[in-house]
Amino acid sequence: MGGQWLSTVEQTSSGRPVFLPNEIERSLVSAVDLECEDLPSFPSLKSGLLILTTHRLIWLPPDSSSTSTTSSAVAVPLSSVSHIFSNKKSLKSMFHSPRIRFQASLFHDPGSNPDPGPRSVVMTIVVRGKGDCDAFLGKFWESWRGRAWESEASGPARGEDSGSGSGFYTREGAVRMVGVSGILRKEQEMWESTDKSLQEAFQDLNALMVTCVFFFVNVYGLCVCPDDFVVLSKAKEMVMLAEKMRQKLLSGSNSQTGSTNDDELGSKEEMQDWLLSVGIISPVTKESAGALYHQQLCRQLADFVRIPLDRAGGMINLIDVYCLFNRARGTELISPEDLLQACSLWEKFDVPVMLRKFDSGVMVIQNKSHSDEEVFVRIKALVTNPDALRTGISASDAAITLGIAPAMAKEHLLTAESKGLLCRDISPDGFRFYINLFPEINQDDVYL
Amino acid sequence: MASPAAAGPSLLPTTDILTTTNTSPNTDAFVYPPQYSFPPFYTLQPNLTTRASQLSSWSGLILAYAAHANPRLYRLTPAHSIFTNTALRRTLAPTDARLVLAHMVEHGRAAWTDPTAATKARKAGAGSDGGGGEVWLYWRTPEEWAQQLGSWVEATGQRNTVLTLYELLEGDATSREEFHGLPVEVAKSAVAVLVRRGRAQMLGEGDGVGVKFF
Repeated sequence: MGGQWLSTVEQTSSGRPVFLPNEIERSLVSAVDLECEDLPSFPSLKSGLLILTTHRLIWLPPDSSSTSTTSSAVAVPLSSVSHIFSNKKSLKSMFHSPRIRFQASLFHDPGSNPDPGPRSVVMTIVVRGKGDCDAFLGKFWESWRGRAWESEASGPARGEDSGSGSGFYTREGAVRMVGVSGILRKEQEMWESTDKSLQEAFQDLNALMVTCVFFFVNVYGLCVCPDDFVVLSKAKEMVMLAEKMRQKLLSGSNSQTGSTNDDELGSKEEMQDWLLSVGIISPVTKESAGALYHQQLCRQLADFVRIPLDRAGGMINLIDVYCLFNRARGTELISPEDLLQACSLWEKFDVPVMLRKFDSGVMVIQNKSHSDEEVFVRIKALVTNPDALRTGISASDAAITLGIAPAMAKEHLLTAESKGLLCRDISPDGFRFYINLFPEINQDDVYL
Repeated sequence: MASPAAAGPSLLPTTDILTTTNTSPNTDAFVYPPQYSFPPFYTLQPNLTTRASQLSSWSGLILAYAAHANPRLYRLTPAHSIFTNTALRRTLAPTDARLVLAHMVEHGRAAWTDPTAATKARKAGAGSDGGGGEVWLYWRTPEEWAQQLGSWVEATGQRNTVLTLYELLEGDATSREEFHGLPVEVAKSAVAVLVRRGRAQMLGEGDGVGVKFF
């Protein structure tokens, strides 16, 4: 491929790029070519989807949903961009597809790469679609100037400390805070700044102590009076207090602290881990994705929903997904209509989940591999046991056996009924289901 | 005799499955079919395939019951006690019972006692409490009755004789026949079958209707 100029990008099963920790999507443009005239070996990247993030320019092949092309998603790290050329307005450009040119240079990477290729090349982004080129350029500038990748590199110690290993706890310069993880990150930043100022403070105190001692030694010629010692010890106390506070702060943010005997801290960590596990770092927003909003939201939702789906046994209520998804998105809430639209777009993409509407109107998300047959077999086993033959089963009986929510169990029962497996009995005792015996009854009937 | 083509497979109803119960009616209690004690039997099933089976089951139960009852049951309303199972504490709602009756009418196992009212009620919607809910039960279809009448006339040598309907249905001569006690309305539809086949002729009007068999 483009040698060291391009790095490959992993994609999720629904065709979304896998982002780096803290990487946030800024803008999307469709039908984009990425060209580089300086490099003869540069691959042909035609009419793909270009995603600008805080860290990279990611180019996805046009039909990124098909698995055969997943390998050709590539990225240019923003850190290698050395110059972005401003858009020249010329007569010629009016007839051309709008294009953005930028210079990428290779920083010295000693030992790893003795390639004698050019040190810097000019790449061109050709926007063939209707995307707003100027807005994209603006965001490109912003992201590049924001240097989000640098702030990450400057705080590697934090990343090591962070017990979850997720690397969320890094300072983000110009990066917009979004999602639950965004809030957590903000919190973290606050902690860090407090930590830093405390550190500075006691460094100052140390310095003060040293200067004090020097001062006493030099000026008074070791004739230090007891009162002065009191001042000194007070300073030391303050230092110790500050140190203690700092430790506490660290342990509060750090899940690897030895002081796990503190229950409150433990539960707090748990809570944090849990929140992080559902947190979406870079939610697709209308602002970043523009016209591609629903399409990208659809893909992100497909990725997101897999874990809750597994936990719920392969089928989950759309309302539950709405709550979970919005909780994960934190502040960037979506409307129910957006969710529904994103779900209905799944039909067009090769994603492992699907939207299903029951006859009752209840909508759920289920794995494509989810089979009703399997559920029916279990329901059948349930209704044919001697007790159930006599008294039938209720939705809550089925819910207990199937390990799912009663509302969902009822949907399954109703589906089984519509397939002719069950029949219903509505009485003062409630709404119960029986195995459908009617076809068998009729066979030995005299009068039809 | 003179009508070999019209002679049925049997002159006596001895081969019929229900004959044994009919010749010695009601000495033993009616054995309800299994569906009678199946709770979902009393809830109208939304699944159309299942519902069709359910309605047929009802039809079977009603006809078996009607043929077995003492006195035999010839007409039925949606509010009849057959639709209630006190042991199970279940009742088929009258609106649903009316669907059962409509199903039976559709399959030639019943006829509305007042067809115009039935049509009106169907057009009006679910309201079944009004007229039109009552049916004649055909636990023997008019064709079967017609055959029995024909066979009896043949066996007793009364062809080409004019018999009044009252004679046929209430007379001492027919007291051992299954059609004894048949309502006039049902008997008329049976005779109508014979008339269509050219084996009988209706004479007169009103109560004194006479029938001449050929």
